[in-house]
Amino acid sequence: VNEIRELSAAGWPLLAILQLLPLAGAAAVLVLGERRAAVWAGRAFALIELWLAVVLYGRIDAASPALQLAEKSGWLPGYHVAADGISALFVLLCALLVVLMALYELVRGLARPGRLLALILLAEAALMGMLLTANLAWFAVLSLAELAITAYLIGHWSTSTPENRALATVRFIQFQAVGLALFVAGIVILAWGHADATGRWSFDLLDLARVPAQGRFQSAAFFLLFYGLAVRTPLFPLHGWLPNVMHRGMVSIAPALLLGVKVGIYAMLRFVLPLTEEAVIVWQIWIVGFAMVGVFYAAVLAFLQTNLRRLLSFAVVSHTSLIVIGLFTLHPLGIAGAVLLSVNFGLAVTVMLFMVGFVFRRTRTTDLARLGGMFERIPFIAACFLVGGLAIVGMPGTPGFDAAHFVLEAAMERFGALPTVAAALGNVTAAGFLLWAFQRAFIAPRPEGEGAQALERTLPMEYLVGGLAVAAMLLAAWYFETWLDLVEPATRALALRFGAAD
Amino acid sequence: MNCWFVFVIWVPLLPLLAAAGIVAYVLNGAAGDHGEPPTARLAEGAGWGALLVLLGLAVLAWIDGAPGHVTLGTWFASGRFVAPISFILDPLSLGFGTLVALVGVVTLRFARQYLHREAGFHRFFIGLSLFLSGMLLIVLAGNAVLTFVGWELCGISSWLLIGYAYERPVATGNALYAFLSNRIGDAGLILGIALATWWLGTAEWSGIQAWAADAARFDKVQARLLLFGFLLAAVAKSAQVPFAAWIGRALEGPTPSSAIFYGALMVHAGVYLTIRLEPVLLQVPDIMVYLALLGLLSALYGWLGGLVQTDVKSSLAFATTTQVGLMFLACGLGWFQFAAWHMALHAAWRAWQFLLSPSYLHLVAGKAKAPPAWLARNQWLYAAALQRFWLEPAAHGALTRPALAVARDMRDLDDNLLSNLVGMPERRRGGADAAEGGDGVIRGHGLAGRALLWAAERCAALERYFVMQGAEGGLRRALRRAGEYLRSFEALLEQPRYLVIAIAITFMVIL
Repeated sequence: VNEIRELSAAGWPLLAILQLLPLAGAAAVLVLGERRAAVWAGRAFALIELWLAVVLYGRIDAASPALQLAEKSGWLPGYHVAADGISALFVLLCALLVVLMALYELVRGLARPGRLLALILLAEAALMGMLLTANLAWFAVLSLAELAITAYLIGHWSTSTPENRALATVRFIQFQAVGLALFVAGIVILAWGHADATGRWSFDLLDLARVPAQGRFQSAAFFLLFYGLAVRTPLFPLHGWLPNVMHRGMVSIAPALLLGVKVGIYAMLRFVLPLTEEAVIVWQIWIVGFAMVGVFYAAVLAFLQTNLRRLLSFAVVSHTSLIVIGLFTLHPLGIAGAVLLSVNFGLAVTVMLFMVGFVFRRTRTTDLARLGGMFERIPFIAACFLVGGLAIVGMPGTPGFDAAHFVLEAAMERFGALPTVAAALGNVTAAGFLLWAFQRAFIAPRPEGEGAQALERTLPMEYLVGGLAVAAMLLAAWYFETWLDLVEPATRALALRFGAAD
Repeated sequence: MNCWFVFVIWVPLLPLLAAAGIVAYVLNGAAGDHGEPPTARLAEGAGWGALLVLLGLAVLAWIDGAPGHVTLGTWFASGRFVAPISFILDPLSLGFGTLVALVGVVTLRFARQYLHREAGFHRFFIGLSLFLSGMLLIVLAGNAVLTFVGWELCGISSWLLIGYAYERPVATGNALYAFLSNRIGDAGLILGIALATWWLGTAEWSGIQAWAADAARFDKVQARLLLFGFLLAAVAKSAQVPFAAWIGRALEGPTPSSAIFYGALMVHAGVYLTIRLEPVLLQVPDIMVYLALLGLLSALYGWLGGLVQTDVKSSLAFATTTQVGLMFLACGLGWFQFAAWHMALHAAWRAWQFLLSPSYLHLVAGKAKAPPAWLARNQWLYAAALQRFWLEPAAHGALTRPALAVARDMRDLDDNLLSNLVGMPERRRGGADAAEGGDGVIRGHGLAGRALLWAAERCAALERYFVMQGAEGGLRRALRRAGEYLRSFEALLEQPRYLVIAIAITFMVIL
């Protein structure tokens, strides 16, 4: 099982176009500048990209766990892209989120919408590349590009005082630089081992999987890669950048780019688990232990927050910990659950971030003590926020329900009842702080002195953005089987590498 | 082997004895003008002695053939770990050693006049003799442990002489800076020694070279880590990028010491170490590539930085960095012999230049040359060169500031938690604590005392609760307290330094 099979069946370079189209879109939008047409062009590109993602979904043979539609290039060193069910799902999510962002951006009335849209499309190109590449060096370079774009967004579009904006940007860059450096060190160790064994340098996933690193080097590579991605994801205790970036940085778009598409989780699935199997098995229990602590730690801290944005950041840490528990059950059900959970959480967090953005547009604050009483004025936005929160909690009717169910079932089988009950309790705690936040932000009476200015009613475009996002989430829940069928063969194959029985 | 070769031990020993002799002389009240000649004569005599012994050995080696490795006995041993007193006598070490002794003697002779009636006259000669001993030991040492001894002697004497004018804060600050930068390299040397002993069972240079030649035992990964340690030491000692900043600060000492440390001899210790490691390096070409790049980078750094300097000593220091960078480049390209010649010629030439530098005021008429037009046009490059490529602020931000911050956190931990735990008298934080402490009649000190007090208070609270129904908000207060602790913990996690510490701890555990 040491090899990942690959079929070369690409008639036209669909994957290359998936990566290049947003790039072209960004160029077009940049050229058009701040004209009205720029925004329409950007949206059109985002929509075409979504259509391409659907085409990709159609062309993937979901029954096969192999990497498909592979493309290699003779002249571009290391260019190797391929997709399977998991990447197809993430690509769909990414394209959808960018369409939503392109709509959201104008509604929020952010400064320099043309430039912003171009940057979003650039980030999309980088993200698509990260989701499709089968080369670790390409992944590292593209994530550097993506992080640089996001850092630029945080540095230029943050809605806070200059000091806070600087703090958010600096913390973001410091943490992500360390994370990226760790990731690069990890792939260098792997590639070096490969070069020593075969005499040829390669960062290709398939090459590296053929010659796994040995002993301590594998452990070192595993931790370097895992920590690098854990900073990005983020996981306790390496999550330090997120609260500052969420609280003091951009309200919605940069966090949505970072947290909506969980490339950290994706890279763990795609690269870390197959390349460092033995180390994963050795350290599995430690990772899960830390993730369990993370679920609770973040949940308790979420209870303590007085700012809605900061609170959401801890909600994210809490639920990514749950995803990692699922991933590291190394159980077919658990891994499939983790994949679907990360897509669900990505969508749900984006919905909540957008709604927080709409609230922020009206109040210019996300301080919970100064919010409240908004349900009467903007019930639709409040309801969307609530639905997002419920999806994170794993309410039946949202895709989180089935996925979380899978994760818990797999955890039960692997780790026994007690840890599973603990993890489930952590998720229940999430229900607590999210509902409490909802209550404080939307239902509680408007505090004295804040009621003077009347809140604007929900705009039609806000209905559209919120409605689309929630509809996507509910549809995903309704057709849960479809998505499960899409990722299941690939996740099962992955679990089989770890000797899963069923 | 010719029995005369055992005399090599006197080479580093003579300057060391001279240093000890000067110390004794100073303690016995050397003072005034007539106190100076004995000191100078002692140091110079030792230098001459070392030079003559080396010359004699060189002649002997010429006639008899160089003996290579000479073991005189065991310094200390513990289990598998043995540190012999051994020397390596080959054309490289004898040749360079003779040059070192020669430059040393010349500089000592120069210093006798240059430092006449200086307050620290004797101190200077002690430092210089110590340095000469250390440098000769580096060149002649047959194993990495002895090399390390020499390495440290050089480091200490460099610190002493940069801080020569210790009444000026700048001088002592710079001394500390240079010393600490060098300590990073020392850590690398210790790592190299430890790995060599652990994996190879020996730290003898000849043993390491034999290991590199033995295809059956040689392991590339081990070689890379070994080289990493040794080359870190070499690069730090030779003031290459990224450690290049210290040499600019090291010029604070008297000119003769600058000449011998940063112009002629000590900066070449790293190159010498690299040439010693030639057989290992040749087995791992990828490390050689990095070495070449590093050398090239340092040469560029030194060249660009040197173009904008406005004083003689700084210009010379940057020129030295450039030349030493070129030597590393040569080593990286495999031209070890070329690097050795370059090193010897450069040492001689730069010693002369540095010793001449105080006279430049008289020798040179007119203004200093302006930086070239292309550099002046390119504002960014010009600023970068002028700021020495921001190496110092970068090191400050990346190392000093986090280290200070961690130290501050530790002090807070100590003050707020540990002192309380062991019952040390604590700094009261105001009214809140006093109110919590109850009526103040009973006080618990230390863990046991506090535990007893705590148990007593709980019992009292229980009694109050059942007897008098007085429970009020205790749980809430405890929860709030826990929340505060969690918050401060989270505030720590949001500092990047704890990210780095967490990562370091993991790697200590897994490796």
